[in-house]
Amino acid sequence: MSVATEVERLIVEEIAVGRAIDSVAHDEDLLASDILDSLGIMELVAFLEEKHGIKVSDSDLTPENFQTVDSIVAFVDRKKG
Amino acid sequence: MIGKLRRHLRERGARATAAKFAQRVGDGYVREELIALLKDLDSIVEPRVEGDLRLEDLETGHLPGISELNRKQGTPSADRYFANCLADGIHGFVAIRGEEIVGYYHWVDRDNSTMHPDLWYMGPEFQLEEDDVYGSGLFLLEGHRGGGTASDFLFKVETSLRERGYRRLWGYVLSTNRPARWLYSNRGYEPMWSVLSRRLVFLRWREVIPDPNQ
Repeated sequence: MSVATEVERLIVEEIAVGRAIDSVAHDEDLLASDILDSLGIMELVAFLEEKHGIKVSDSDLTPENFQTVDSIVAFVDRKKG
Repeated sequence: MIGKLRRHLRERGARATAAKFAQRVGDGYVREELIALLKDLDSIVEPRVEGDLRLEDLETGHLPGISELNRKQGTPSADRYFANCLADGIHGFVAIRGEEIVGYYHWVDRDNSTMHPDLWYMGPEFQLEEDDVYGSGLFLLEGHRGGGTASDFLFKVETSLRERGYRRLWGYVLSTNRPARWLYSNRGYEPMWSVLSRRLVFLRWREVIPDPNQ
C-alpha cells in the first residue's frame, strides 16, 4: 500500500471518523478543512513514526509539511532520504 | 517540615535523611520552556465548518457549571481559582455546548494585567500596550475535543476580543505541548521569543531566549 493510500485511510477511518468523509483528494487542504486538527496531527505523527520509522521533530511540524496528502508523502520521502 | 526531617534523621539516620531530602528537592524542581505567541486580530480566519460551541463572558452565574467541569476533569480545587479570577477582575469566556460548560479561557488587558499571574511567564520586560490583550488557559473538556472544536473555540474568542477593539492577542504555549502549538500555528499565532522557566519549590527563575526556533 502506498504512503498516500495509508494516510488517506488513516484520515477517513480514524482521524475524521464520524465526520461523514468517505475519501480525501490528495491535493485537498487538510488544514483549512480542519480535518487535521490538533489531535489529528498527533495521531498522524504517531502513525508515521511507527509505520515508517521516521522521527518527526518540532521543527518538522509545519503547515507546509502536512497541508495535503501529497505534501505528507513528500515529507515522508524526504525523511527517509 | 523541619519536624519531619528531625524525626526522619532520628529514626533513619543521616544518610537516608539526606537521600530523602535530595529526592524531595528533585521532585520540586520544574524546568519548562514557554513560547510567547502573538496573534494579529485584524487577520482572523474563519473555520470552514462552523462549530456548535457558544461563547459567553465568564460571570458568577457560571461558577456552578465551572465547578461541574472541574469535577469532571478531576480538579475540584480549581473552583477557588475561578472565583478568585472574578474577584480580581480577570476576564474570561466559557464555551457552552447545549447547556453544558465544556471549556474556558482567561484574558486581561492593560488595565488589569497586573492581576494575571501567568504574565510572569512572558518575561521581565513584557508589558501590554493600549490595543493589546493577553489570553491564557484555553481548555476544552475531554470528550469535547477533536473535529476542529478547539479551532472553533479560539476563532470565537479572537472574534469577540476584536469586537471589543483589541488588535493584538498575546499568549504563550509550552514548547512540549505539540497539539497546542499546532493549533496556534494554524490559527496564525506567531512565535516571538521563548522563556526558559525554572522553579524549585517556591523559587522561580526565568530566562528570555529571543528566537524560539533556535
